[in-house]
Amino acid sequence: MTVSTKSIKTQNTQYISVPPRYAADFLHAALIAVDGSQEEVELMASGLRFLRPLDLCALRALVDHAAEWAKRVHLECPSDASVHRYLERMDLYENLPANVTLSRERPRIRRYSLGDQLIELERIRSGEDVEVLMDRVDQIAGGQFGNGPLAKAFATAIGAAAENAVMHAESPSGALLAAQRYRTSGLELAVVDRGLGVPATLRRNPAHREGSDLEAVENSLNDGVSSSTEDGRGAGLWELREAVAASGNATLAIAAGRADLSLSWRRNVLARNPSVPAEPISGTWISIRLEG
Amino acid sequence: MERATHIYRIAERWNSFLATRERGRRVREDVEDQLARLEPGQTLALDFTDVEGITVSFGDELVAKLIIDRAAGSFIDRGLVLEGANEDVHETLETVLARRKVSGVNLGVDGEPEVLGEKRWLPETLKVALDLRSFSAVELGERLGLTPQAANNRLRGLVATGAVVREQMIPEGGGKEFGYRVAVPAYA
Repeated sequence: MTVSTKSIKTQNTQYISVPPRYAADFLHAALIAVDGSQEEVELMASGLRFLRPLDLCALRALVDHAAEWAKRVHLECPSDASVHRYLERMDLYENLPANVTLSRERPRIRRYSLGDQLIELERIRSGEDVEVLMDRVDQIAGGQFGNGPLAKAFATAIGAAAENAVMHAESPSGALLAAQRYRTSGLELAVVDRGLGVPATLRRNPAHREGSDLEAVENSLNDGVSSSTEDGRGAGLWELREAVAASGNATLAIAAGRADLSLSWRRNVLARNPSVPAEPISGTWISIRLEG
Repeated sequence: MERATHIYRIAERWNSFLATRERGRRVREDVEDQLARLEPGQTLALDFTDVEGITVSFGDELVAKLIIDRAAGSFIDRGLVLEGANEDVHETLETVLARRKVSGVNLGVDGEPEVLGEKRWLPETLKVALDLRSFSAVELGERLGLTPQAANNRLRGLVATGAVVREQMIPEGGGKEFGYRVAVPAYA
């Protein structure tokens, strides 16, 4: 998907224009552009019209990253009131760093429980956070999918991806996770961290030091492949892949470093779509779609 | 000595879907605490009833490591069996144990034991052990047509599964000798 967007540096301010849709495709590069050489970052998200969980995680990751590297960050909120409310509902504006300002007041919304339809933006920093999340996921998966393979895929995917981020990524601010159930396209789940990324992590193990980033990402989805040399490790991402594949029509995408790999299953037929991004991707970005 | 079986109901204590190594480690520590409270000769049944699913990472940290620790000599005077696993959990337990090339013993709904994970000669040896119930390495070797050394090797594997416990005996002539006894509830 081609996105019309721009990232321009003027004197000491970096202006980053967030595209109306599929923002994550662009926000990879925007993260790299914010490198500490700017005093202020202006995130122009007024044109935002639609966000998937991956876009939501990516946008918050960019806000956090910019807040760490620049003195001031200004987020121009979506002009569309419903999108502005959606960001509030999904907790994007929650616990913003002190040097981040918003162009509009946060909307007041009624928080109906939508626990069976979505997981708001969740920050995971530790194994305990993963456990607390898994307790919620257990309820959501059961309520949403019963006890079938979709429930297992959903819970396994969240557990494996979140645990991978916490245990291996060494991300400065943990991992961000969000999920949303759509009536037409199924369940989407994203986990984004700004850590070392799968290829760099895997190369800690001498057995996996060789090969490109793309090969490393593909390899990480095999049983027993881990950054750790301890016996029995390397089940997480393999199990994630197995669970997604077993759920029916589904897609698993992992982007990290110079690798962007998408695996899609349609009627038990696997289609691989590997690509090398122009700019290296900071951390590991996992997105999953379970259509059943 | 009381030959009681204590049941560790996982779903009641934890959750119905169990993922992550961290949680597996916590459950294992709790199980080890329960094992430490048992009298020698008693059995702990890890009951998966109402557990809808487990991940391989969780299972590896809980079940595989418990078995590996038994192979290294931990709690080998107490029994350990698995039970109540649904089809999905059963399949994951098979995977977990096979990945580590170790074995566990699962009780079916009828209470009959089956070997999960690495099989090799274990099903045959377990069958003979269930028949003997309480025995020495020499007795097991005689039944299987093995030398005492070969029987001892098999017993090490069988004790690691948790289906058989090792007990220290004091023979009439003095010294040190080990006896073995089945820890599967229906046969204990």
